[in-house]
Amino acid sequence: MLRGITGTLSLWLAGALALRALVVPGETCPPVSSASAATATSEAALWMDRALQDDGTYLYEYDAGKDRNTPEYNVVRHAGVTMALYMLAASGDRSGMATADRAMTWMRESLYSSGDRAAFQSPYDNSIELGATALMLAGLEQRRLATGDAQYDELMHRLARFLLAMQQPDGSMLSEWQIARGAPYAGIRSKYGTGEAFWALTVMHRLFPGEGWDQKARLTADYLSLHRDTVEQQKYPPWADQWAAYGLAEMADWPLNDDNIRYARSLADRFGFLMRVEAQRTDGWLSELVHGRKARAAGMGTWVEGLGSLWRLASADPRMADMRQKIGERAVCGAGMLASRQVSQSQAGQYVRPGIARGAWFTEGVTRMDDQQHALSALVRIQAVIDARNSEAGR
Amino acid sequence: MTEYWRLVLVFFATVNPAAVALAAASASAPVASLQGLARRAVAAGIGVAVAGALFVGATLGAGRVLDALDIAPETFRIAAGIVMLIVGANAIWGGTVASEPAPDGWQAGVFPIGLPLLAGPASLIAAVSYAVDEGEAKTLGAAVIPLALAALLIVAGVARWRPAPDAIARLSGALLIALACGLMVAGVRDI
Repeated sequence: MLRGITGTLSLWLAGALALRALVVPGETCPPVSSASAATATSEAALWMDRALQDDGTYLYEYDAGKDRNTPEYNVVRHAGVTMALYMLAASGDRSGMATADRAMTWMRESLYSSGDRAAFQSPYDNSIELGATALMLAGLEQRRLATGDAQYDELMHRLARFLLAMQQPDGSMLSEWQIARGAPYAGIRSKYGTGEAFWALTVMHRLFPGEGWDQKARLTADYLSLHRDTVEQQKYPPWADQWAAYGLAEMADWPLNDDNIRYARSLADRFGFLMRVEAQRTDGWLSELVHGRKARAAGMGTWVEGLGSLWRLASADPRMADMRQKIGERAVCGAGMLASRQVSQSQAGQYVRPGIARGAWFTEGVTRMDDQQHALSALVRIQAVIDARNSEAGR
Repeated sequence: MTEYWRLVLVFFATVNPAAVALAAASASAPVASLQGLARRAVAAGIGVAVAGALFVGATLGAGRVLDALDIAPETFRIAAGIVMLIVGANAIWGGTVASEPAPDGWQAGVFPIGLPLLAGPASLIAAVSYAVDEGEAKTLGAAVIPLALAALLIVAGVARWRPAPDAIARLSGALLIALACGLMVAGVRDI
C-alpha cells in the first residue's frame, strides 16, 4: 500500500512541478507605496526634462548598449509625453510644467488650420493624424485642470472641432487628414487614435459642460463598446485600449449605459489577465521561452493606466463595484512592477550616459520616450488606488 | 442550472464514479474478487473516508495553497483546467482511471480506492480551484454526491455490466474535457 501511495504521490509531485514551472509560476508583485510611486513619477518627469532638446522635441529613443540615439521621431508620442507631464501637474506635482510648456510650444508652432478647426501637423512630413491632435488636446485639457489657465481655451475648442471632423456618424474615427481634399482619408483608422479622441472629448465636456461634447463622446463610446473590435478586425477582442478606459472613467457619473459597462468589464478582464501574465515573467531563460520576455514599460504602463481608470469607474458605478478590489489588486501589482523596473540613481551610474538612463525604463537595453510616458501616467493614475487601499486596510 | 448543481456536475466529471468503480473492480484480485457485499462496503467506506479527508484538506486549505504559490485564483483555474483536461482525455482513452494493483483487505480502501481513484488529481485540483471561487461549503457539498455515487457503484460491483459503466466513464471524460476548457477560458478571460 505504501509503495503504491508513494508512487502515486511522486507522480503527482512531478506533474505539479512541471505545471508550476511551465504554466503557473508565481506572480511576483513588488511592493509599492504612495511615496515610492511619487518618487518614480518624479524621476520620470525629470527624465523628460533632461530629454527635452533645444528645439522643443524630446530624445526619442536611446540604445544603451550601443550608446546611440535613434534618429527618428513620432509626433503622436511627443504629444503623449507632454500630456503625461500635464497629467502629473493636474495631480498636484507641477515640476514638469515648464518642460511640458516648451514641448507644447513646439506643437503650437506646427498647427494646421482649416476654418474653425485646428490640428497638430507633423513638421517632418506634414501629415495630420487624429492621435497627435487628440493627445495635444488632452495635454491642454490636463494643463487647464492643473492651472485653471484659460489662455488655450480657444485653441482647445478648435482642436476638439477637428476631432469632430474626423468622427463618423457611427461614432468611429478616421485617423488621417487629407489636406488637398480638406477631409479625412476614408477607411483609414487607428487602433489608438479613436480612444485618444474619445477621451479628449469626454474631458471637453467636463471643462465646458453644456456645449454638447458629451453627445459626441457618447457616440464614440457606443462605437467602442459595440462595434470597434469587429469593424476594425481585432484578433483577440477586446483591444486593450487604455484610452477608452480613460474616457469611460471620465463618463462615470454621466452615467454610462449598460453596453458601455459590459465593455468596461471586458477591458478590466483583459488588463487583469495581461497583468497576471506579466507578474509571472522573470528574466530566466525558461520564463522567456514559455511566457515571453518582460513587457516594455510602454506596454505595461498602458495596462496600469487602464486599470487605474477602470478602478475609478468601479468606485463610482455600482455595476462595476464587484470588480473594484480585483482591479485595484492588479493595478497596484503593475505599479509595483513599474516602480521596481525603473533605473534608479545608483543604477544609472552603470550606464555610459547616466543622465539618460536615470528615471527611464529599458527593454533589452533600449528606452523610448513613450516608455516614460506610459509609466509616468500609470504611476500618477495609481496614486488614488494606493491611497484608497491603504485607507480601507487601515479601517 | 444553479451554481450548486453545476459544481455537482464538475465533481461528477472529475471523480468519474463509473470509471472509479470499473478501476476498483479490475485493479487486482483482492478488490475484484471481493466475495461479499460487506467486504466491498468496508473498502468503499474507507475509500470515501480517505477521499473525504483529502477533499476537506484541499478545500479548507485552498486559499493558503494559492497564497503560498503566489497565484491568483484566475491563474490557478488554467492549471486546474490542464490537469482536468489530461484526466478527461485519459478517461476517454481507457474508459477508466489509472491504478496500480491493489493490496489486500481494508488497505484497498486507502489505496487505490481512496487515493487516487476517488481523490484523484483532477478532483482535488478542482476542489482547490472551486473552493476559492465558489466557497468551501458549497464545494464540499457538491463533492459529496459523486463520492457517494462512486461508493455505491463500488459496493454494487460493476464488473458484470462492464459495457455500460465503460461508456458512462468515457462520456464523463468528454464532459470533463469540456468543463476543463471552460475553466481555462475563464482563467484567461477573467480579471
